[in-house]
Amino acid sequence: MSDQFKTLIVTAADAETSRAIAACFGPGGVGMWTTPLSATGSEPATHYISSGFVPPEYAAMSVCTFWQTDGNGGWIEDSKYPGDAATVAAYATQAGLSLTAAQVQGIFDRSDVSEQDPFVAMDRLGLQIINESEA
Amino acid sequence: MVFDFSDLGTLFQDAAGTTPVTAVDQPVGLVLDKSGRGNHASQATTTARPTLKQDGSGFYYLLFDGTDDGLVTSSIDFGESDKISVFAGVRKLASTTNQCVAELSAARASNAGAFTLFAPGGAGGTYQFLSRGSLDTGTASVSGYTEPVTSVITGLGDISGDTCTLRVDGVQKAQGTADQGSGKCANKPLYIGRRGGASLPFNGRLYGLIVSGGVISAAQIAANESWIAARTGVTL
Repeated sequence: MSDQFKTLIVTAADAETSRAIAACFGPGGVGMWTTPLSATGSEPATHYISSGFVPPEYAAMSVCTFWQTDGNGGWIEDSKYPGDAATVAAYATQAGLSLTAAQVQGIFDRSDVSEQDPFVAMDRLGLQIINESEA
Repeated sequence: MVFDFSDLGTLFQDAAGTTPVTAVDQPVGLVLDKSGRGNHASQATTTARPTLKQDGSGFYYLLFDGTDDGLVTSSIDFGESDKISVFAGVRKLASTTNQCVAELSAARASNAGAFTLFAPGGAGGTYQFLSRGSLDTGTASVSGYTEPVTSVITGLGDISGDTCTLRVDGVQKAQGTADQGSGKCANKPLYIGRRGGASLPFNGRLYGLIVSGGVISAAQIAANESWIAARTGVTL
């Protein structure tokens, strides 16, 4: 099974924990969620985004919502894959993080994970990348 | 260094180089430097790898998603050279300002001897090249390239000569002549697609990239631009 494309958006409050969880799964999970988002495109960040290919074994543990257009330029939820918070928590605990399945489920519930293009997902959520100054 | 994204033999899906890229729509975690100098570019974070694509004319490119994609080399030793040449085949897709195509060091403003290639630069529709020695003053920018647009971009930095030159599609478009101070090209990593692997993400296509230090002749500039153009589908 090949890697799966995902756009994963977490709240700023969950970003540090989410990064720590992803890092538990190996070097490929290190460095996620470093791009800040907000509704205005200015600080402070309210969310962080990672978008790209995820190995299938990790995608299977992550929540994912599938969207379809409503015909009027909007989106309606078609289905939702619940993920596996218990297994994620178990891996995290093995790696030294103190996390319960309920805590992981909370992160899942507050996050937005889809197979949409990142800018489509951001537009749906009313978010944009915080455009940092050049200097 | 020479990065040729049309040569699938130099592309791997993982940073360790164990899984070759064999088709489009696969992530690219390692790009081998074809110059022979071993300055390979990689990305360890799976979601931050650009994707190999092929355009309607058959040209291969790496697609950077404009959120978190990027590659990075190890530190590059340019010796005692104070001159840098950067050649890129680019299709920029969005007008968001200051999208980093390539930068020597994690942030040019903090590193003597660095450079930055933006597409666009400080305003939509521009390209910008900045180079520096001990002084961060070299800059050349051109407007009139409204996104989406495909171009062969050349940046030439000369610290002791105090020139920072920007060429587009084989023609010089801008040159800064401010005093860049002194020193040599920085012995730092080259970041591709994102500043420091952390900010100013590039949203677009990269068809090829050449970076070299040292004196470069007009003939070599033309040859490099032709090489890039042949992989980008641009007529010079």
